[in-house]
Amino acid sequence: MSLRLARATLRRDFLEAATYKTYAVSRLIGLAGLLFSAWFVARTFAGHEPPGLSASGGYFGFLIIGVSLSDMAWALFAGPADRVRQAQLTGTLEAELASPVPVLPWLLAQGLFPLIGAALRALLGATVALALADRLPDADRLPGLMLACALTLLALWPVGLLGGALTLLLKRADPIGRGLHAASMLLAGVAYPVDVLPARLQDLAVALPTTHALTALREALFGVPAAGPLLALAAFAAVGWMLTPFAVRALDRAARRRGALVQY
Amino acid sequence: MLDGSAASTYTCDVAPSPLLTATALTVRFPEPLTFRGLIGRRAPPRTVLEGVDLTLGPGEIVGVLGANGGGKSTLLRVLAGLVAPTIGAVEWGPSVSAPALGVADERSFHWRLTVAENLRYFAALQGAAPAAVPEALARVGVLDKADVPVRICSSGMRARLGLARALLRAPPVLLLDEVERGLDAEGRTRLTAVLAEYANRGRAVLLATHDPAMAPSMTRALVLRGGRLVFDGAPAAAFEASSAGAPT
Repeated sequence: MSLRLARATLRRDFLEAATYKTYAVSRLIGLAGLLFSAWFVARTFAGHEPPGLSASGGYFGFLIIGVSLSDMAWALFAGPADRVRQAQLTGTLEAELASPVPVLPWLLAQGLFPLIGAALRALLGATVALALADRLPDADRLPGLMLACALTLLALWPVGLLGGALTLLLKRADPIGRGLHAASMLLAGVAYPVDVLPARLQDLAVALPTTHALTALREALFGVPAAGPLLALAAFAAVGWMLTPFAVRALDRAARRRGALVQY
Repeated sequence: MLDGSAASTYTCDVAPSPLLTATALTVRFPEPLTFRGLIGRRAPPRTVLEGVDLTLGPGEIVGVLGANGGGKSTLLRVLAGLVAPTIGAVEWGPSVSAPALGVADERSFHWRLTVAENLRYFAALQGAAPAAVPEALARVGVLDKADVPVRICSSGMRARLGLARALLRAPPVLLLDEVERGLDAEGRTRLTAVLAEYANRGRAVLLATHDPAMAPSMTRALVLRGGRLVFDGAPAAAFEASSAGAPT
């Protein structure tokens, strides 16, 4: 993806969002609502938390990290597909893809604005929440935290690119991104620890990159950082970035053969 | 030269190599999968182009005519690379890196952005210099509307904007899909001037249209019917063939 394409797409999305006067305010209100809900849910279970959760900043810290990553995962998994669908419905897709820019960099650029928005919300929400709970991490944890964030990004993004390319072809459904997000909400340890799941579901949870991302982030913030989740994320990222360019090109070719880029 | 004069003043001592050669272009779209298709036989693919041969030389302004559903837009989209032909091939001359597709479709812009913001974005997509934006807007006569949101532009303005977007990269081949639709007299004069300039510079234009008033700007015209090329010749005769039933 060229820097110019990334900058132009970000600028386009920012200017578009800025024309909706209440856009930023509504997102902040949503974030505040989420923090309050998490706070009250955590208070409901105060004193009854499983012992393992104290290492994750109590249930409030556990939930805040889970919800923040879930928001980020949604932006990564579904962001490009949503943008593709929006371009199909508004009618700009054909004009954009008639340009000489290849589809993969175009898809990457489409996902940037939702991703940055989700990252800022996650950062703001988690910082405020952890500050309120007096659980802000020490500065010496920052390098580990940044490594976990970077690997999470690299491991999850290929799924969204694949979903975006699939939407070019299918025009409506993005079973990959949405399915993986739904599975993550259920199995990856967003709102409750993976340990409480039946053994078979725990085995399934291991196959989700979000499970390792949540473990890595929580360990980087509150616990003892271990190599296992980071290595798993690196493996997901390596496989994802090796396969996704081929898959996106194949889906793009199929979409052009079926006329899916010009018939929505 | 933007004088709107006759299109074909480009001369060349040796036979120039064509900018575009398309051979036996055939496009068949599979029918969408339905419940009936799942349990029974799927409907056969729909043929929208059938064996179309086409060459486009430097200085040519070629009209693409035909009734609705004849395959005009599909042909342009195949040449623009948006649709892959089922059979056949498109070969571009050595000077053509990629053609530009100009569409008058009002929905092909980001409506919340201004005219200039839209073109700046498309310039980045096309790899055109930012300076090309005011230049293209000036050529179609909407430079004074640069800061107006597209959503409050008239359909004629948006048609001009479609043409400006196609001109951003000054491509050797322009593919224009009914861009004259909605243009007022001044807009048509500017379009004619752009076409003449293209011909004079040894570039080429393929122009899908229903409008006989565009005939004087063309060097030749094709007629498509049911996806087949049924006429290739003089523009005036092509319009007659298109409206009355083409000779085969």
